[in-house]
Amino acid sequence: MAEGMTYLAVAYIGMLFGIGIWTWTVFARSKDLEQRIHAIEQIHIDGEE
Amino acid sequence: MIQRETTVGRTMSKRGAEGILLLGFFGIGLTLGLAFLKAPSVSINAFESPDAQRIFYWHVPAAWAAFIAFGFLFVGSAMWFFKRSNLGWRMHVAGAEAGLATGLMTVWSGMVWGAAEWGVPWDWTDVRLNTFGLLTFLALFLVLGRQSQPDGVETRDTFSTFGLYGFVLVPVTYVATRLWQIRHPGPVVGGGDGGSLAGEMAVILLIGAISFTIFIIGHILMSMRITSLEQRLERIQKSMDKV
Amino acid sequence: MLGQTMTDALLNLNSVTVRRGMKTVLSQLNLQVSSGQVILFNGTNGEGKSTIIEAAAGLIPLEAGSVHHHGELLIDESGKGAKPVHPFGLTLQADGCMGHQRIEEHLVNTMDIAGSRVEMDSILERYNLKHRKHDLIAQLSGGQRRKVAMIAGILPGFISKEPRLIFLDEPDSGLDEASRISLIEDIRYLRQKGHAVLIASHNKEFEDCATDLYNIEGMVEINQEPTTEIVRNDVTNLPPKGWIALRNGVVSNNRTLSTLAYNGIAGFLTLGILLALVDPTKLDTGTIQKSGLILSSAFAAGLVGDSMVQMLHEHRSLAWWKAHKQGIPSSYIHGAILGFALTLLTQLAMDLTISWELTIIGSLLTTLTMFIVRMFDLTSARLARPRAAFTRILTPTLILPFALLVQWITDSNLI
Repeated sequence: MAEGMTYLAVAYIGMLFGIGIWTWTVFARSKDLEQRIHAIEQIHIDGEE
Repeated sequence: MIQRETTVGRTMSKRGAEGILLLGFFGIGLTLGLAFLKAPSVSINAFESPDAQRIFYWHVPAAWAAFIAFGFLFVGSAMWFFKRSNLGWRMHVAGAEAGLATGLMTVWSGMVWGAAEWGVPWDWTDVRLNTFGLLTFLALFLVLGRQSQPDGVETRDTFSTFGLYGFVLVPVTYVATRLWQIRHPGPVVGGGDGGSLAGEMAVILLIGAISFTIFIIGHILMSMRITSLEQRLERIQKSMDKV
Repeated sequence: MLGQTMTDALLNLNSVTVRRGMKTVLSQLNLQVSSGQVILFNGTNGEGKSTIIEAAAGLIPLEAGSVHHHGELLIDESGKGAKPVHPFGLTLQADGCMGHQRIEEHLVNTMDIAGSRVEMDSILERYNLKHRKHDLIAQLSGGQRRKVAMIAGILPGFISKEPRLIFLDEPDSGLDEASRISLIEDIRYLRQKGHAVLIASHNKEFEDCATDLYNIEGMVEINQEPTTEIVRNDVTNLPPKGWIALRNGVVSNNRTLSTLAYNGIAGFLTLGILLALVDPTKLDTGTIQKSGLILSSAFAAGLVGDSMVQMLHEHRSLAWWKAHKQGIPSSYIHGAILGFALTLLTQLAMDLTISWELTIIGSLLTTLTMFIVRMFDLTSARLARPRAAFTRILTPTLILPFALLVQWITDSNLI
């Protein structure tokens, strides 16, 4: 019984970890790109002024 | 001249994708809780490891989500390959990334359950198991490979070719479930004789399937948005190179 | 030229559009080249000189349009293509030859592709390479290697009695002055013989032998008067030898032992590990494991892929072979021999009764696995950085077919 619960726990923790990491990378990449685009657009605007 | 996207348009698209993603995440969390607390225990006569059987509530929806992701990958690959569609390329990229993540989740949960139930984590003679593993490896190749190359028609043509080849295996995977039952359990929904589920199990499984579907769609939308942003950044940088 | 039909022209580019990376390099390009024309593409960097040459040679997929040689379709936008009806000469910017080939071998390949063999000493002597004829290309300096690539481009013109297309991309790059003078004279000779030559170069010296200049502003005729006649001795044409790609694969493997080094090591390592960990006396004939163990070293050898593909990446040699559409050298024969040897050796090492059927299956297994992995590599060849794509990630997908093969062997009682 305990062994079955161990497998279950291992599977769930692994899945949660995987989903968490993946979701975090998606948000992080999106944020990083937005910041870079904003920075470049700002350089261009400052240049025009 | 650099055209600025409207802030409003960009924010709405981002909020929509994030909202869908979070909704799916909540649903997955709910599925997890229900699987632990509400799902009925299965008989020791039917399963070697009744506790580990609860992995099923994630394993099956993850596999379903992976099918959706690989479907996106195929359609996107075909759209780029035959029509040179930029939307198709963004779908290919999103489908590959989502397919990799959900494929790994399916394979991982399947291996853990297999170890508990069958005593071995893998069976090389099982067509469905291995076809799923194959698709996950394909997705890994596509994701890593694309990151190593500059964007361009050569990169897109090459990887969409691999995407098209790989997708032939998706219907094979489903058919294999029906035709071969070597070690992997047969389909529990729509499987003909002996393929029915107890009421509560079916409800929790359905919640899981819906949650994973919403989650994967949210991820795909976010991923397509990221590819759009990458292309936009590249365009801005190229226009500044010329100045 | 006015009033010219498609069948008159040696080369026809019809509304050709080509993209490279994210950029459209050629857009709706129309170009007809007829016998005796020498077109010099002398535009600035990035204008698409090399792209025109490579598109005309059928090396690049077209976004739109079509390319015809001697009135026959070479390639169109759907990717439909045909083997060139008449072989052409090609010198790529990156040389297109492998380091382990001898000079004479590369030129003999060129002649066989062009349709006949001729004595090559006189042309080699003109470029001060006759004494190097038997040397490996890897032993040459960059300039000498460039001469070999350039000679391979113009040689089909010397062989053929019919007008031919000759494509030369920066042929003078790295050449000394004497060689440049010889090259210009040779191009004049080819023009006199009725061949059509397309040259991509900034070098103004080529204007002496060109009939037209082509750049972003269009085509301008120059130098239409016949040049002073150049007399050369007639060449005696000998029949070509066939099986060019197969022959080169065998010669390459014999010389470099690449299949042994590349695939053999993987196979021997696998065998060694098995012998260290497995007790052959405890294997049950009736189980799947035994045939799987016997075939695993042959399978591992095949999974490594075809070493020829790695060698073909040198100086864009793969592009040169692809352009001529006469096959691409491979290591299948050596792979088959290696698979046979590994399977036999495994049975001997495990003190088992030799099954010749299983040994032949091992040979075929190595070859087929090598073929599939080679297809992965060739599909990735168009990438900007093909070696960074890690096609080996896809090789675990072959484990299932291997497992099914092993199961079939067990069920068939072959051991």
